[in-house]
Amino acid sequence: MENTSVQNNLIEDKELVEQLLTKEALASLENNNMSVPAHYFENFESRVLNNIHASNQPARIFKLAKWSQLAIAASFLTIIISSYLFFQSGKNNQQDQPIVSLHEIPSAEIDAYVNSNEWVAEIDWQEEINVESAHLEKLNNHLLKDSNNSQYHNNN
Amino acid sequence: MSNFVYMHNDQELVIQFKQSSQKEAAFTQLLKRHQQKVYYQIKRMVNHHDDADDIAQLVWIKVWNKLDGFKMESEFSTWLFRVAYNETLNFIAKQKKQSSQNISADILDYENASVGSDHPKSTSIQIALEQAIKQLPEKQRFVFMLRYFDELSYEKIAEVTGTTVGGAKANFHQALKKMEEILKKD
Repeated sequence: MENTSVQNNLIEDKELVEQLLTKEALASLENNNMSVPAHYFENFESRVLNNIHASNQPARIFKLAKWSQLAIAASFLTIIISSYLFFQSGKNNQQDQPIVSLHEIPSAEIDAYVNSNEWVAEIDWQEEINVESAHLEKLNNHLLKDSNNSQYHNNN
Repeated sequence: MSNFVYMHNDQELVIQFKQSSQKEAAFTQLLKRHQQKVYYQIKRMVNHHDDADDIAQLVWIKVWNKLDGFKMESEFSTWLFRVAYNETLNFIAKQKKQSSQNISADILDYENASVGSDHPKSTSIQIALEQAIKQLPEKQRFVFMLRYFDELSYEKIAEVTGTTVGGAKANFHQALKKMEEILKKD
């Protein structure tokens, strides 16, 4: 009963459309929409499935053979061990330097060292003396000026 | 009765799809059964074969990805039409954004499509009708097509377009009224 009324409504609506727009024009419009390239629907399924498989393809995982895995692990281990040994040997070299106290050094060796640097030491001293004497000379001149001035004032 | 058998078969195929061992076989059956209706529904809206083909493929890829979550509260065909409806509207919205063409150029394009090599020669009445349909808002156009050409009930149209039965009826009658006005102008 309900189906019949739904069907009647549909027929009424279609008649309403066909009164306004000619049945021929509507049929022709639908024919245009129905036209598809040859074998379109036959090939559609495989095209869709190809697209689905392409979009759902998981990321490629490279599986290495057992011996390759071991070789890679061994080379990493070698790199780590050799770098550890290299840094350790550097540290040891620094620690191996002998610590010598001053009294253990022979006096002849100390003299030779001082003599080799004597010329540099002399220049240093000479410079110190020059600076100091210039300073004293300035001070002396200043005192002389002061005493002259006080003498002049006393005479007046 | 035949409708029941048809519905039953769809449901069975959906259940089969959800049991992942027979996924592809069930999907292929569903696709074979509904591909033409989906394609024509889309083509009536976009008019061009290439566009309709692109959208139809997107629809079926979406069906493959989402069918596991389909709760079977409605018929499979209604759900499928809804997917197609949404994809078509998305496509039209994207095209509108991309294209700066105005309505008149669009109509010209429509006319060219109608008299194109893969279409039979169009009469002036048919061109006027196509232009009138083209000028309808998407939802009204969709409802008109689903009612007249696919002969769907208002209940089903409401489900597909996500409106009420009253809303679907109103859309259909507004579409008719608008087309009448456009054709009278011409």
